[in-house]
Amino acid sequence: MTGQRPDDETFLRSHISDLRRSIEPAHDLWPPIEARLTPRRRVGARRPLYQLAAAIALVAISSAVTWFLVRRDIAPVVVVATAPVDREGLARLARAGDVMEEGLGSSDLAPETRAVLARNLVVIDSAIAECQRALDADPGSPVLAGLLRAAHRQRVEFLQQAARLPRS
Amino acid sequence: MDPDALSLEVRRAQAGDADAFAALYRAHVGRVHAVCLRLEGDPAAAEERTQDVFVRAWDRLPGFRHESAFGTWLHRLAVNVVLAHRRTEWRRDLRVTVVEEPELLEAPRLAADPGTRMDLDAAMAALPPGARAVFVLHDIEGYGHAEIAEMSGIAEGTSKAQLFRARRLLRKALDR
Repeated sequence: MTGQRPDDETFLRSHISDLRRSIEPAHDLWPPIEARLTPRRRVGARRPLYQLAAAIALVAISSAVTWFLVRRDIAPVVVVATAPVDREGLARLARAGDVMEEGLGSSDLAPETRAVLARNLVVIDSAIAECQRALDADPGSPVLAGLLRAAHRQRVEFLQQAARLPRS
Repeated sequence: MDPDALSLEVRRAQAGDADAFAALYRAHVGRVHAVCLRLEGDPAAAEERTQDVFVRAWDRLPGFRHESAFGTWLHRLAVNVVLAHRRTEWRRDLRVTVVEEPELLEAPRLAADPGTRMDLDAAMAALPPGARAVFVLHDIEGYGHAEIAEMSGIAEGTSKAQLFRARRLLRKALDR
């Protein structure tokens, strides 16, 4: 008596589970990759845009303080929002920022200016991600929605300022 | 690399630190290369695509918002880079008619060496490109037919037909 022959999918499953998830290339690919990296985003000459950096730091610090107060169940001094969470409005702000950032990417700013902009955008993006994670954990919170909206607005305003910077 | 160190390296790389990006490359190159190799079926092409993936990742890192794990983001980028590169050829290969006996559609490149037992990676490399792509994306990487169809620019039914075909050909090769 012979057993039933497994179908193709079942037959292959054990072979698939044996596959290595990671396969190192035969050559070190880093040198050719490094040679192709666009220098505009490297950390280069230090000529920070002090005013912009200060504005970002202020927003980051005030968001952190407000978030700390919210987490400790202490009423924040600054009430960010009391309206219901406007998800469409948040999405519109995020899209506006994306479009502006894309436009900035193709502009001819000096490399050191780009580096400063990139560093500050990382700070804002981190604040947005932090607010988003908090809102995901507490989706009905108008305070968190307000913080997220403020961070998105900050991103848009920062990009508007950056768009007005002199080109190289 | 532990998650906290990885997150720090990602943020440094986002700010333009090429040394941090090199550390990310070292941590992820094996996984990226594996998916490129399986989709391409050719080591030289896989190394080229792996380079393309990391160059693209560097360009797009400022837009990475930490909403998913960096490895997940990079993996998805790798699939997209390979698919974008191969799309034209795959469209040509994937233009098949669904028939009862898919192995009759095209003479496969399988097992020029009768009697030699193949492993799955070798058997996949010998598949026709379209069938290989769908098999790798569906059975190994876990994408659904709708996603594969969208990413590859083919019909969902074609994706299903190619998967059926790939499995049949692979079994034939591995059963020897």
